[in-house]
Amino acid sequence: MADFLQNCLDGIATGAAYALLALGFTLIFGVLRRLNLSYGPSIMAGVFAGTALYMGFNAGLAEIAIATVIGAVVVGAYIERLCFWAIRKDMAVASMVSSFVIWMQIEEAVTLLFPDRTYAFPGILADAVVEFGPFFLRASSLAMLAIAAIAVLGLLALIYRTHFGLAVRAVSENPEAARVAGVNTGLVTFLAFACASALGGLAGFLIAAGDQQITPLFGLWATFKGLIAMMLGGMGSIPGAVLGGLLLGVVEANALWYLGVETRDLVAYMLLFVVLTFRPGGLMGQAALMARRAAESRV
Amino acid sequence: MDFYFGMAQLIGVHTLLGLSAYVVLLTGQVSMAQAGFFAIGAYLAGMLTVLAGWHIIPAMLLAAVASALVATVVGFPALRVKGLMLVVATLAFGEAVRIFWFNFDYQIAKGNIQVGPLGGEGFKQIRYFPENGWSTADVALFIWAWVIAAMVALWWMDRSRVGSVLRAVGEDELAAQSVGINLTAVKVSAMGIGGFIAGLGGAIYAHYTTHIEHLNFGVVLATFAIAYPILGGLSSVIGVLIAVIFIQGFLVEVLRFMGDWRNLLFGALIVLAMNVRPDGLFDARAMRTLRRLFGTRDA
Amino acid sequence: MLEVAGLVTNYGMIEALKGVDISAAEGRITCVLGPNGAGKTTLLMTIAGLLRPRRGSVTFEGRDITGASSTTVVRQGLALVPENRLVFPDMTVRENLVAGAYTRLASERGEAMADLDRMLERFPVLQARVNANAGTLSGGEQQMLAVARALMTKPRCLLMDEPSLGLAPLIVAEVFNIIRELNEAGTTILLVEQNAHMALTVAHHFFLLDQGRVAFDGDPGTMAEDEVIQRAYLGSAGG
Repeated sequence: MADFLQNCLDGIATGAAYALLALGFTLIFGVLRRLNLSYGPSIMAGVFAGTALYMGFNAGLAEIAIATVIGAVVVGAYIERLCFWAIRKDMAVASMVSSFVIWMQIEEAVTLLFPDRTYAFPGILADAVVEFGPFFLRASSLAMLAIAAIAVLGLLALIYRTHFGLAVRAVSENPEAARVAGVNTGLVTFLAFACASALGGLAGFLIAAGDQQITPLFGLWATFKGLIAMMLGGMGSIPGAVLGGLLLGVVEANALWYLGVETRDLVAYMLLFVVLTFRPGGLMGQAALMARRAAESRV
Repeated sequence: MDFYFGMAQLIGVHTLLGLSAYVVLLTGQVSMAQAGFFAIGAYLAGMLTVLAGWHIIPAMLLAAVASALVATVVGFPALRVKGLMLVVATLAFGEAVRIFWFNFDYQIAKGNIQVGPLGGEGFKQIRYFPENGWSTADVALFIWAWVIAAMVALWWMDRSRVGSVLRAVGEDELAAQSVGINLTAVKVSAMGIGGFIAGLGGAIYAHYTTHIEHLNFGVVLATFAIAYPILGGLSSVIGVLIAVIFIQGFLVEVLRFMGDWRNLLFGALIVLAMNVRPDGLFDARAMRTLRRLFGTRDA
Repeated sequence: MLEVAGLVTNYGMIEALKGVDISAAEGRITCVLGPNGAGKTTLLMTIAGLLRPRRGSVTFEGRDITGASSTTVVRQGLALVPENRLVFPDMTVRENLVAGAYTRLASERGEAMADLDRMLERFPVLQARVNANAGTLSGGEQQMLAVARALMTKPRCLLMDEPSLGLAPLIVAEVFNIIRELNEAGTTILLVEQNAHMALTVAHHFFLLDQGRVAFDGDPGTMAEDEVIQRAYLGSAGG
């Protein structure tokens, strides 16, 4: 039991980073209704920008975090223009395939610029451990949790309290009605994409700082973790993304402890498959799905 | 000459993979699990010839049937989800298959060496062709016999009532249902047929490369599988072949001189192709023109 | 006030408008009638900047707005109440109205918020459900919301696409009352309708659209109402 609780504690810290990735996917999916497979690689590119700054100039943590976020946003903008803005809205699969091809491109570019397998990344408060009675948590995990929580609250404020957030929600709910109301949907989509990339960049920074190293494979990893967390919670639901991320973190931490490292990812994929089979809308999406159906039948 | 036979082998195997995605795509389902079925076919057929000493043809058929069964089983739960959720669910399944082989060890002694799949090391020494004295040309002919058989079968199916039923489901599920088409049966059989063809492709692939490992069957392959029928325009099996030749024969080879930078341009060119011809290199209109040129009347 | 000349627009692969000339005079209610598939909705969507015309021009208050983006069109003072209402279902009634004022939020936020209060006063049904999600409103309430949302852009000309579609007769009468009142308060209205009978009771001028072309135009009374209705439903086949 104590093991289980300790695993959950560790899992929640990792899950906070997954939640940020899932939120980024949710934001992109909301405004585009299309899948961006290159989301992870754009974050990976950002993290490498941070590494370059660290290795080349021995920059401080704040500068590295900013470089990571900017790098992710720049690459994200490139993806948005090429794979989503330029391709017709009804060609969702063409967009997805394009985004994947761009993934290969980004990975190739990063591997050419950074030929080694792994690179060092500075940690946050690397070795300290905080104890809570019988349980303990690395100080870096605690920092990760705190920063992720602030980012989530910031995003919620942006989406529910600002005009820009109103426009993002309008475009997500009904792009045509948003255009009728005079919302510049192209610009809003682009900016939402940039926000998602910034969020991803922050998540990438936190994860890389936790691991204190980075490889080009991080792109694949981030895409999969973010996608699974988003789908677990329910497509397009902001609280769902947070819940899905935390759940994924907790399940993985326990799978790692009880079943071993090689089954950890397998368990995550199986969890997703089971959830989608029995609750196609995801954990939080189901209610929204039902409410919308009820509303549609009323009209 | 061997170079051209090698190219023909590669194109043949990828055509089978593309055809497997094509069948599923006809019913409007985007499956990213084809690489997973391909992997199952590859590993099983390899184990049958190497470990059990089977002849290649029964080994291929049994492996393909096993892939088809797995695809059918995946098809049932996948029926409950649609669109992007299906994409992610099948993507997760494909990755789960890859991780399964990554962790799968089953080796026996054969003479003085150990053979069989060995987790991350892969499955080496699938030497059925060289052991039985097949030349590169023989192998290429063998592969193309299967490819042509599959293309003819699918082409015939496309023109028959079965093809119309599959396309009806792809166009409009509700309308198809209202004229009495059993959606479950159609979608699951399409998955089954797709799984069978992918399994065949994988079985051949394992034998002509003689060495397979889990990394061969990742997201890259899954995306290629979907990209072929989409670039091919979804109008006929010929489109799939043309798309494979365009990507594997033309783009990959022509860009070889670019060396390390090849993948960067490769990505950009595919995205460009998707942008310029979102309905495929050969859409319905282009196919009509082609038919006119070759004097066959429009059906 | 609004002039459309030689407008040609494709809707998908079909040429839905084949050279349409219509105009809406300031302060008046102009109706476009015609059977299904005549191109009425395409016409409004092209004017509103949702579709790009292939040829022809749209001029509003002397300014050329042909092919302008919907954002530009809204800023010029032209608002569309779309067919089937198209509200934001998971946003509250208030949020829907604020979204309607989106183009004004940056420059004249205070005034926009005052308009919001006035709009809720003007539409008591919306006031009663102001914090409910728009998706839970009835069809009639959603139509009011769509009109109110369009009014939040402070338009001088309102484009209305089939406001009576799918509504009970009593509600239809209410909607047409609102149209008349809005017009009396000074808003120019271009109304597209299937319900020719109701449309003719408010119209100052009408156009008959058939297969992408204008088949007739005149004031109500220049053609027998029976014939207008027949041609509005059946097109040239009935006339």
